Amino acid sequence: MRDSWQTTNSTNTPDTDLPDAGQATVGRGYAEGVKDAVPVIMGYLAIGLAFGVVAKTAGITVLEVAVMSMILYAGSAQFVTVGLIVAGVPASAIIVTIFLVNVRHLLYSAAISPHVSHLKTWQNALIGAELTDETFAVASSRLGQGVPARAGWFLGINNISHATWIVCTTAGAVLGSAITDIRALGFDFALAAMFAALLILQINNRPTWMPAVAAAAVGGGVALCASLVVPASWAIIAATLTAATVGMVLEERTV
Amino acid sequence: MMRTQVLLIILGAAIVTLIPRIAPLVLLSRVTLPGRVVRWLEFVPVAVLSALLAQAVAMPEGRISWPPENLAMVAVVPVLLIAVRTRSLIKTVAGGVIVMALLRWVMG
Repeated sequence: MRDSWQTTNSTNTPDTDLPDAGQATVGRGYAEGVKDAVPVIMGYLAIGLAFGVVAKTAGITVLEVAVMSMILYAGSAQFVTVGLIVAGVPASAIIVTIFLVNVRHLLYSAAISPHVSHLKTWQNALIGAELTDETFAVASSRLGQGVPARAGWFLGINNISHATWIVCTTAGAVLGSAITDIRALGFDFALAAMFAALLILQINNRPTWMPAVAAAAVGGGVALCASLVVPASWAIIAATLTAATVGMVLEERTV
Repeated sequence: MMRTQVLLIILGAAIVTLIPRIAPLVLLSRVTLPGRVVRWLEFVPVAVLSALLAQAVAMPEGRISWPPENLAMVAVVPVLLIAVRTRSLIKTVAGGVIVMALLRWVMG
């Protein structure tokens, strides 16, 4: 029973286990977007609380944490911002640094753009405004099957993820050192596990798996090697440019 | 309490973050991209996910670290197996959290 279920599903719709398996496509609405955000929410729970605690400890106020999560809404960039504020770095230098940390979103935004050409400009702007590593990871895995993306689905996953981030970072700042050991529960590994699952699903979506596996190996390798000489977020860019090119070239030769 | 200087930093950082998030979505979605560019963009998710996974697993504290200090590097093995076997996002994430909690418990 179990095996036949897996066989039938894994060939057609690899990520069927996401809620409402039967219609597991992106052509769905706000409520489905909210449901699909569950893994992101689990990850933000741990990182958000941790950020709040770290920021409060560094002398950032609860209100400042809340406002930062509302209008900046970027995990690693918020940690960097706090670090630079505490170090007394001038505002202009902090803003330039944050641009460099977040410029990788150009690639996420560009990768989604071919799928949303049917939407209105303001809808695409709204979708982009709440784009993060994690929501891009989930969204791109649902866009692979050529089904038109629905604005409501994007808003669902984006809004609930952003709301979770605001609530958890603020809660972390309020509670402060009262919550020291959330790590023991294993939630800090939720995002890594999500990336692993989405990577397997993405590879499974390709017409042949070899170019995708090769691209993934190159991407992982470059992301680590480059991080030894440049900041981690630049290593992501270097890895993406290299790995996507390797994958495309190999697929052109094999398909 | 909200310091003016901090508010200005947050506002500036937010603006320079919104530009790369929004500009390609708004501009590129209005033009028809060449087939090869689209095929390249189709590989961006695999590329990004492998990079994010590698960093999340190998450098959870921001620099490369190894077991027993870095248990993520151990936990990723069963998690990849769960992902391949179940092809399930929820089951993999739940499994990953449980594996990590167990590892920490075992390692004391």
